[in-house]
Amino acid sequence: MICEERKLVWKGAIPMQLQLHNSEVTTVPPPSNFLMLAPRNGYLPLLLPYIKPHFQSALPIGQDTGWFEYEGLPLKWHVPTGVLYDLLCFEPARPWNLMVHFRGFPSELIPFEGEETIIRSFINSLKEASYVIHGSTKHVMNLSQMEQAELWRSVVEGDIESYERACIKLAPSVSTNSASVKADEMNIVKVPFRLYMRRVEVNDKGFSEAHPLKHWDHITYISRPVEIKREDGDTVTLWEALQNIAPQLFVCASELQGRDHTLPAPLVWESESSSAVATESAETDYSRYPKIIPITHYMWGQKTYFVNGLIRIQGIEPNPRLPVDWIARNLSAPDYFVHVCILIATNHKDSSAQ
Amino acid sequence: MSTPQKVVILLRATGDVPILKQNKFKIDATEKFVKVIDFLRRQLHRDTIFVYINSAFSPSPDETVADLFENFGIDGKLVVNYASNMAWG
Repeated sequence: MICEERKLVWKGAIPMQLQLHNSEVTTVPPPSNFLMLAPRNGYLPLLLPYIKPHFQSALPIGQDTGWFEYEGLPLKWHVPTGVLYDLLCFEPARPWNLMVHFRGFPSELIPFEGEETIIRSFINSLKEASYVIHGSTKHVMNLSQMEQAELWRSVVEGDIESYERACIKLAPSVSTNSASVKADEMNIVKVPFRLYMRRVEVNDKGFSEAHPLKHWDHITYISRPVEIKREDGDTVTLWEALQNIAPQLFVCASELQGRDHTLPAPLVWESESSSAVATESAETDYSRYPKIIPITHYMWGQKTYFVNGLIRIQGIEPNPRLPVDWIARNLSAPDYFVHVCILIATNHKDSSAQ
Repeated sequence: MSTPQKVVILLRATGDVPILKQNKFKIDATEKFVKVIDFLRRQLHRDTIFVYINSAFSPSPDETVADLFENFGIDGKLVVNYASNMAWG
């Protein structure tokens, strides 16, 4: 049974408007822009067979690989399209305006030699995820050539039904209903997370017109297995997992005292612990902090924390109280990784130090 | 977490690729894995090599050595296999 949430995530797509870069236009008038829907779980080069025919007649003589650019930044082809959008496009633009090139493949990108290159990158990502989940890559290695091809086709076509069929061998814990399987084998205890973190400047009106990212070096990239249960058997929530991996995303309320710059004002979280939050809020007058972005704050032990930025998974700003297990089952990419984009709010001084 | 500042990489040749005299080296934990790939390319004078962790998978070149060591390191080392052709897919 595939749940509705997962189906919706697989249907996720980004409307894109592609323009051929001026330096490659040889016709007058230049070719019109090309509009298309790009699946979130796909990879940009998979779109080239649809895009290239539109621009073909305007291209100069020669042969080269297609690549994409957003506000001057060459886009990494091995990062899922939805992740690129969530990370780089601060205000979700519709359509997303990208530049397409068919010449001068940038040396800063991993060389791309056709669909085989993406398949290899995808399968290796899947193997890494499998290593995290099962402690070995044997589930992926045991797939026959035909099964691998079928799995890849389901990703290219965004066909979740055939993807789930192709993945049965990868997730024995799901497919086996037999009670003879030991409980600890039934439960996946760790799930693979990939985090992409960038700092985004805030001013007194909120996140400022997001400055385009100039270089990939400004992205902090973290790959980490996340346990879905604590030692005491409680489920681990997204917020707990991120507190461990990206502590800089959280600001303790006590640290806010005496700081008057652009830190976010709280939005009271409606939850079972809201009374506890309210008690603490009553003692602390948060209203004197300028309201920047709607922000959540959490009780952790005796302390209140703020999320100082945005968390995006599959284009969604998830409730940080969601269990990691639920997120992995519903929001993971076809390579089994949960790709998390984190935009950390920073004031002008911090960001200029980048 | 106790990732050291420098991570010991243990190189293992697979298949008909030359065995490097220096099979162990230290690298800053903050470096990306692409540095390891570049190092091997230079040492072996080859444009294309296939690089794996624990004879299992090729990590993304963007991953940091620190993360790979923390997630997949064995006995204080990160085992990196290299081959001139696709050894493990």
